[in-house]
Amino acid sequence: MSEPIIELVNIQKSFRTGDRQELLVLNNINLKMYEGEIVAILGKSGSGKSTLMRIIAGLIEPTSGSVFYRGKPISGPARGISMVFQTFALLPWLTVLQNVELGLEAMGLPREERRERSLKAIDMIGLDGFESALPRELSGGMRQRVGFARALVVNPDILLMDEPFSALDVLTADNLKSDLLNLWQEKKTKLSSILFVTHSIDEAIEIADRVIVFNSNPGSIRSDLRVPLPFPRSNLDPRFHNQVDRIYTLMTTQPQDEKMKDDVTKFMVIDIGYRLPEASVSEVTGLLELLNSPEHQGRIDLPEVADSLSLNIDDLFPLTELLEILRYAKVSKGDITITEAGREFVEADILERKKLFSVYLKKYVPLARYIYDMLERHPRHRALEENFLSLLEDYLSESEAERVLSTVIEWGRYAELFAYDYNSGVLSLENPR
Amino acid sequence: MVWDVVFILMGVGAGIFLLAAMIENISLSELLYVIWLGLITTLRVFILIVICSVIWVPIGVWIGLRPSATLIAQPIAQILAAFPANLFYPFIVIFIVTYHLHPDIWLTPLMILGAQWYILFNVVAGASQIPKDLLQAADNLGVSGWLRWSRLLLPSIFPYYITGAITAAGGAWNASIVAEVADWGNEKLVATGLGAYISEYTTKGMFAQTALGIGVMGILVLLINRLVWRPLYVLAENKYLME
Repeated sequence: MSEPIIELVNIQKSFRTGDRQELLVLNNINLKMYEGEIVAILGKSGSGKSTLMRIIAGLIEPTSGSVFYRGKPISGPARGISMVFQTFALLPWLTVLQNVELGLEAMGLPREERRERSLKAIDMIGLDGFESALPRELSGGMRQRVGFARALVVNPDILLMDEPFSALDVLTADNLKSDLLNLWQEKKTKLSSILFVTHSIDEAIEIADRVIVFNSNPGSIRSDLRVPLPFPRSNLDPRFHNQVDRIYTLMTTQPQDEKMKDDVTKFMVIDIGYRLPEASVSEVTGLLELLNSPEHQGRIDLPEVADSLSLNIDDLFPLTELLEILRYAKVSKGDITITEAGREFVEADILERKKLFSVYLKKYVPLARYIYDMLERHPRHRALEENFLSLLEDYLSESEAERVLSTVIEWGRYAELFAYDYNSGVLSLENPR
Repeated sequence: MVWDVVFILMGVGAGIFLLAAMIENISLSELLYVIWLGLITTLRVFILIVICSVIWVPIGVWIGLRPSATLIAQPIAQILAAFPANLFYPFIVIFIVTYHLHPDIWLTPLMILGAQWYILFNVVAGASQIPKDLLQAADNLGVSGWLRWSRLLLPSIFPYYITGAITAAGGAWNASIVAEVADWGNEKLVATGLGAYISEYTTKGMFAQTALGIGVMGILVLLINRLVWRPLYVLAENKYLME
């Protein structure tokens, strides 16, 4: 194979949380990108994939390791690499034309040339007639088109896209994707390669030649797959579905499972600082009900769940993870299977469900158990949420710690394990004895 | 309700009393003189805001873009903002007397000692609110130097800066009453300005002149707010606010 355009060598990135703790977000990333490739980085939210993208662009420095762009190490924002943002990142006080011109202005080009090239880019990306509009006058899809025009007008070698379609509705996103593929396939740009981050398996399969599946906590490369389908790709094609299935299986199999494939009864065990999934009890119950319905007989293919509940993996995986933590269901090889405990829970009435949930919560979620024990030991059965927050901050970033605590509080309130006063931040036992 | 009526009656009564006292005691030439003094103080406030902005906007942006610096700078600036200006009188008076400097110019900085921090606070807050993606998008496009200031940083902080500048200007007007006259021991320095006028007649206990001075100051502040700050504020809200 030819020389790689981008090469990542042992990239590691950690952020500081609190005073002493370091949180590792990217671990040992090695990756090569070649001429003519569209590569997707696929992972759950918070797996560090956006951070990786910024490291490639030279916008963030890795803690260790190096990035090579056409053989030269990158330090600082790299010319020739353009980026498109999930949030569009347009300057709200500049018109479409001024936004697009910005990169050319930074290159110091004369006004005439800037104008000409920008108008051409605006034309190419389908923004004709909106040159003098301000971003706020445009819909999300049009704003992202400005993002693309701004990135492409400088004739980049590599295009990086950070979840470029996830802030858009489905139709708008599809439309933009096909326009982009069109530009790429007809070689209307000077791009040698495109790298994009996504949390949608379908999107990755639709566009990419290669899919890099990411692990979370810390982010690392799980596997690197080729997508051997011809363009245009359709998600009605059974081969498309096979590819989706293959990735689902990969993403739901724990790495250690691969070594002991027969041991299907092994459940996950978590510690007190575990990054609990953001799942609501009602959603989880809904998923269990679907699983337990007569037509599914307790076992479903995950892509099918995602389809029938119209969830993407960022919504679905937290639910399956909670089910696994509580041992209400088991996920393996792209399928989810209800357990005896799960069946007992879902077939119980509302009060009985709460009782069962509280038993399992105490048994399998150490954080919930810890909060409960602290409250029970306290003479007045009360505690401030800050106490638990500072405990969690030893394991997680500040915002994640808050998220995890509010998640466990929601579960605990549902289970009537403890009560919570939002205004004072005081946790207390539901029924002090 | 009852209190509203009482207050209104008190206000109207005081107004009539003062107006009567003013018509009796104040000549037209004095009125023009007081307006002239007001314009001098206006010029002072304007120059101070310009100078402070030139100093504090770049520093504030620098601090605001660095979260660790912001954490250190905020409490320090808060303490400085609470520091009373008249504690500086001895130094300033000795300085001016020793070097035979003109009080019209060298007393002026006292007016802004406390108020300048509002500009710094707000600019720091504004800069720390700039979305990371915008900064990174600019970096990615190679936007640097003056282009970065003019296209990204200054517009981003503009609404915050305006809020700070309005507050600082208000504070400077207020402080002119104590800052245009400074005494320490036997030395007394007086600058030409509306603040000094008000201060002088307040000390003498002369109602009509004091009321005239405060009235002119009130009207000037109101006019400047309407004609300068208000339009800038509207511009900030409409054009430069992040969504």
